[in-house]
Order: sequence, then structure tokens, then C-alpha cells
Amino acid sequence: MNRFPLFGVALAALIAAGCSGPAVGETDIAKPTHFHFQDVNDALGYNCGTLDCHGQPGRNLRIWSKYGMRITDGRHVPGGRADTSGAEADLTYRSVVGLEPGIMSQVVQDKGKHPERLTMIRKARGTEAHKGLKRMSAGDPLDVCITSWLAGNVAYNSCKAAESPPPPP
Amino acid sequence: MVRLSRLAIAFVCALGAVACGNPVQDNLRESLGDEDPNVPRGPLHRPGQPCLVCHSSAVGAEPLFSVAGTIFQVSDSTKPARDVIVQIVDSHGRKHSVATNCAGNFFIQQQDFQPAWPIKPQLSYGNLPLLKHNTAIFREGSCAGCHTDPVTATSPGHVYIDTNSVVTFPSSGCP
Repeated sequence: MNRFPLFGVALAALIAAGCSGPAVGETDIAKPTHFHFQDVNDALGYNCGTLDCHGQPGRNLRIWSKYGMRITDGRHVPGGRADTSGAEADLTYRSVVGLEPGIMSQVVQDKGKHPERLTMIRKARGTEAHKGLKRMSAGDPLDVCITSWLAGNVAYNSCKAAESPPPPP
Repeated sequence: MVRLSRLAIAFVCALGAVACGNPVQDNLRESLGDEDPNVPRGPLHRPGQPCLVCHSSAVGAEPLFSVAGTIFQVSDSTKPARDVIVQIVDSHGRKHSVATNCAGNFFIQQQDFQPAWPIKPQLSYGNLPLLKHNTAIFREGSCAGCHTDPVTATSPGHVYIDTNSVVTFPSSGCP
């Protein structure tokens, strides 16, 4: 007779344990540096984030920048007349990091080695089908910009260089 | 028996036609609304709309365009700018120029120029400084594919030539 309350308590404990997860805000994935991401952001915006490509809200990879989609605050419009804001770079950061968080974490933990494990790198390098075709080759400014960020030390000059020249054919 | 076969063939054809439609493209076309009854179909029709929704290989409305759009005079009005020279520079460095008509429309037919994407357009008009597109265009052949009104977070608004509102434009001369 007395076993039923005990059973109930055990069941409740089991359910509570089963439903518990990491506390809100806690993650155990390694993320690439946020430092100097704004430079990476503008290189991405120039080469990938125009309004007809990843500067659209409907894309998995969404890029906010002065070259395309802006944050909806009514103050900025696309076209480069106002610089990319920190809030816009933050949104891009979340979008990029959230694409493949598990693989991203592994690449970051490996100090950026074998970045081609990430789909976005393979697509941009043209080694995986990409409607926007090949946008970079290993070693060119855009590639160095992104991979240096994944390695934890943004190559600022490469990011700036990636923003300047016309996109490759 | 023959009548039944004809009916069956007609049914299958109808089914095929419905099944092969592209709902995204269809919705886009529908969203453009009906023709203006005062403007005949042709080079002057539907200014400011995304031309390649219909005039592309995907839909096949002749003539087929590679790049097309409408240039307006200023940012806060939809008065068309005629005689604006639109030059497209493709990623191989090839250039192709056309002028806008009285409706502000311009179009480059696929048979005349198939650019290697991405492209960069630039506009010139009279003594105004050359107006260059700030970014490359990677795939969108219609100006209005990105440049829609009103200005939003995902659109810079319609394309206009007189950024400082300094030009007195002549009458468009459209019928």
C-alpha cells in the first residue's frame, strides 16, 4: 500500500530529470571569435550578401551589411550610405555560427584546420553546388579573411582587400 | 472508343500543364496585377515592375531579356527618366549599353547580350556624374527584383538618376 507514493515520487523525479536540459544561455560549443567580426561581415556582405543572394531574409545563410539587407530599424537602407552597424554584424554572426554549430565548433576547436568541413566554405570555394558559383579560392583575400576568423585571428587586411576588388568571375 | 481516347489525352495534357506550373513564378506574375488599359503591351508597359518575371527563359514571354528595368528621375517621384544610358559591365569586362525609353524602361535582349555574371551596371545622363551600382549583381536581371518601393530594410527603393534633384527633365514624350 505504501509503495504507491514512493513510486509516484520516483516517477516524478525521473520525468524532471528527463526534461531538464542546459540552462538558458548556456552552450557547450566553441564559437569563433567575435572580435573584428565586423570586418569579416563586410567582406561577406560585399561578396555574398547582396540583395539578390544572401542579403535576403529567406536564406539559411543570412548576411546583414551595408551592401545588402539592413536591420529593420527604419534608419538604414541598403546601398552603402551608412556603415554596417554592430547590431547588423551581430545578426550575421548568429546566422553564420548557427548554420552548422556542431561542425563550426569542431573547426574552431581545431584552430581553423580543415575549414572545408563547413558547407559555407565548400560552397564559396565552388567545391559543392552553389547557385552563386565559386566566390573564392583557397588563399585569396576572401578565403583568408573567413578562414583566419575561424582560426581565431582575423586577417584584417585580407578582409579589407576582399571588400575592394570586383568579385571574381 | 476514339472519343474516349481523345478525352483521355486531353485530360492528361491538362493535368500535365497544371502539374508543371511553377507556383512561385505564377504567384509572382499574379502579384504584378493586370496591364494598365491605357498602355499597350510593349516596350512602354509595366514600368517599375520586375521585367524578367515574364521575359525570362523560365517563363518564355518574348522578347527574352537578360537585364531590364526602369529608371526614374528622382527618389521621391515615379516620373520616368528617358534617354538615360544604362551600361552593363560583365565579369569578363564586356560592356553593353542601351538607353531608356519614354517610360524610363530599358531592356537588353538575350540575343544581343548574355552577360557573364556577376555584372555591374552604371548610369549616365547629360552632365550628371556617372552613377555606379554600389555592389555587384550576382543573378537578378530585373532592377525591380531588388529595387522596389517603398524603401525598406531589403530594398533601396526604385532606381533614379538625379541623386541631388538638380536636373530639369524634359517631358517624357510618351503617348
